[in-house]
Amino acid sequence: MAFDRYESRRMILVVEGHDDLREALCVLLRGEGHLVAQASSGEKALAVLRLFGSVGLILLAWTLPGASGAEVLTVLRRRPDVARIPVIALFSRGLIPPLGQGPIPSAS
Amino acid sequence: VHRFGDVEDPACSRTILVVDDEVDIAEAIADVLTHEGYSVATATNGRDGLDRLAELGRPCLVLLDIMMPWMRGYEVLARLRADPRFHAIPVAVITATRQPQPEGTTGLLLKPFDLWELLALVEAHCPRQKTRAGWPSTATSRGG
Repeated sequence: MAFDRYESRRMILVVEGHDDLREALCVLLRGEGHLVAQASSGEKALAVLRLFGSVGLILLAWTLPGASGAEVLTVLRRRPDVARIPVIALFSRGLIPPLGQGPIPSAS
Repeated sequence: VHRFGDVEDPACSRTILVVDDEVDIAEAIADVLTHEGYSVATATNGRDGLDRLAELGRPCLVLLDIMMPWMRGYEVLARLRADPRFHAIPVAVITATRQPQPEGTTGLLLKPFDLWELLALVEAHCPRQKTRAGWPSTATSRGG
């Protein structure tokens, strides 16, 4: 039955405002056999999370058009249905806050 | 026995029509299904959905949001079932409120749903357009 092939595949949500970067990440992850959803903004990411309940990991760019990655993460952590999804924050090189100084609330 | 991906009904197009008034939702579904190897068309209201149907001929599946402004999914469904061109098209409804599956539909997806529920539903009705990188090479039999 088809279910068997799908159930073990958790979805990764890629949230990145730069089209080229987002697409490259998606291609890479899909090439590894992952199911991938993408969002070009925080608002779109929240829409995807209202739709799909099987997101196993979120790659979240810290700089986004509209709501920032930090704001998106704050919303995620307040929503019980998605609060426990691991989040990896994506920073541009050079913008990474010094360890212990730039608080990344609840990111993995 | 049909090989996975065979077209069972030559009159059926290979396209899935997604009708949802939330553009982000429609795009998210279309994006995932496209990358899983399906052809997808979208519409953001019931009237547009009926127009797209007329263009597409006979999609292999319609994913229909129930709660839409102006023309609710129920009305779209009723119009589909009353039109001899469209009455046999499989329709699965998407809803955010728990409710019985409407009569004459092939499935109900309650938001938020697991992606595999969507993919299994789609796979039962639609052939893929292409082989997806990383996809397990299977020749799953289905149907008779």
